[in-house]
Amino acid sequence: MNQDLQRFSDLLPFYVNGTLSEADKAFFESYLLKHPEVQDEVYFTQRLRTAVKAVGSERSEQAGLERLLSAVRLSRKTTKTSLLDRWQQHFRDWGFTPAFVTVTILMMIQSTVLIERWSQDQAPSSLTTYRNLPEMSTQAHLKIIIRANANFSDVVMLLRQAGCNIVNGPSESGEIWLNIDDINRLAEVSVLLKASAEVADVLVIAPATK
Amino acid sequence: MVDLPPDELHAVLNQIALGNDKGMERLYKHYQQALYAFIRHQVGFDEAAEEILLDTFMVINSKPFGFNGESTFFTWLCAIAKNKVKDWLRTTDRHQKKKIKLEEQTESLSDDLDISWAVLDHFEKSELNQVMQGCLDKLPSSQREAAYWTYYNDLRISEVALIAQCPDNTIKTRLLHARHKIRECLERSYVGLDIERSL
Repeated sequence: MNQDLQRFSDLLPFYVNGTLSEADKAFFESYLLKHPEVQDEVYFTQRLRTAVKAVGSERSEQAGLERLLSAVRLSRKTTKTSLLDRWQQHFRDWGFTPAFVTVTILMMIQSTVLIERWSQDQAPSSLTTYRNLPEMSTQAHLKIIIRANANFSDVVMLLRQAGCNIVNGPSESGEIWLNIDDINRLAEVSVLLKASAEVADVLVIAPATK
Repeated sequence: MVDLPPDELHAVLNQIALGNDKGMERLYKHYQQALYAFIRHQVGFDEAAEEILLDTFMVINSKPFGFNGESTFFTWLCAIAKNKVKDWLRTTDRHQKKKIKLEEQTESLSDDLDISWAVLDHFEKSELNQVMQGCLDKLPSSQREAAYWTYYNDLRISEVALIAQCPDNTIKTRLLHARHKIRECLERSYVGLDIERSL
């Protein structure tokens, strides 16, 4: 196909629908004058346009309107469902019955409570510490009970002065097990500790044998 | 197809959102004919076109503010309709689909036939629309759609290409092939060479 014929062929539908630019329209009409044999194709395309425009042209403005409005009114009625109904439908769409959902929710709440209790249980506390006191590797000579309001650093200073070593404790109830460097001073240390403001009570345990 | 003025369109969509029938009535009356023609060019069956037209407007009823302004309102309506056409094609039974596919196939004519552009002379003016529409229904959907936008809506080549999302030259080729196929189809109809194929 030569170039002009190709161009004519490309422009034809748009000449027929009246959207060509002035330059293209001028070329097209000039080509038409020089090649009258293409007039049949132009007429064919014009007739094709008429046939395309005729699709649906027999429909009135109202055709199908009543049917549409009925469907629209029906859809309004069905969308006015309560929130509860919508939630139920939503769950049913997922395959969950209301009873199943209820049981699932209850189990989730219960699990949350249990997990929280377990977490609290795992948190370090004096009770846990007490329960987890290591076994004494050395036997204690003394057990003291420190007062509730005692300053622990003062207690430590006191024990150093008295020549005591902490073997175990302090426990939750303030008990500390001690041994002393010089066993012969047991009575003296006992009196010293009893006399201090930090110590509520002193108990002599059977002395260790060397 | 000239869209409703933006203010009026907005008012109509508001009415639809508020459940006022007058809004839907106005919208339907303005767009239904052109939209029906678009759908009819897509599916080739009157009854199917009616159903899809109804479904398209029901979509507008449920989402009146779905239009984002990126195209013309009518083009947006056609996009919705096209999706409904795809749904329809999916649910259409196999028998019907085969028939549609066969009708879209290109049939080569016998060399004995003398095809000319003057084939229209063989037909009465009164029957020509119907015969040509029958031939249009047999075109591949891309050619039918190009014909719709060019001849029904009188759009420029660039506008048609934009809607079809393809280059201008593709549209030109589709329109050229459409013309030739319709010409052959008319010639076939005239000489009685429409072959019934058993499905």
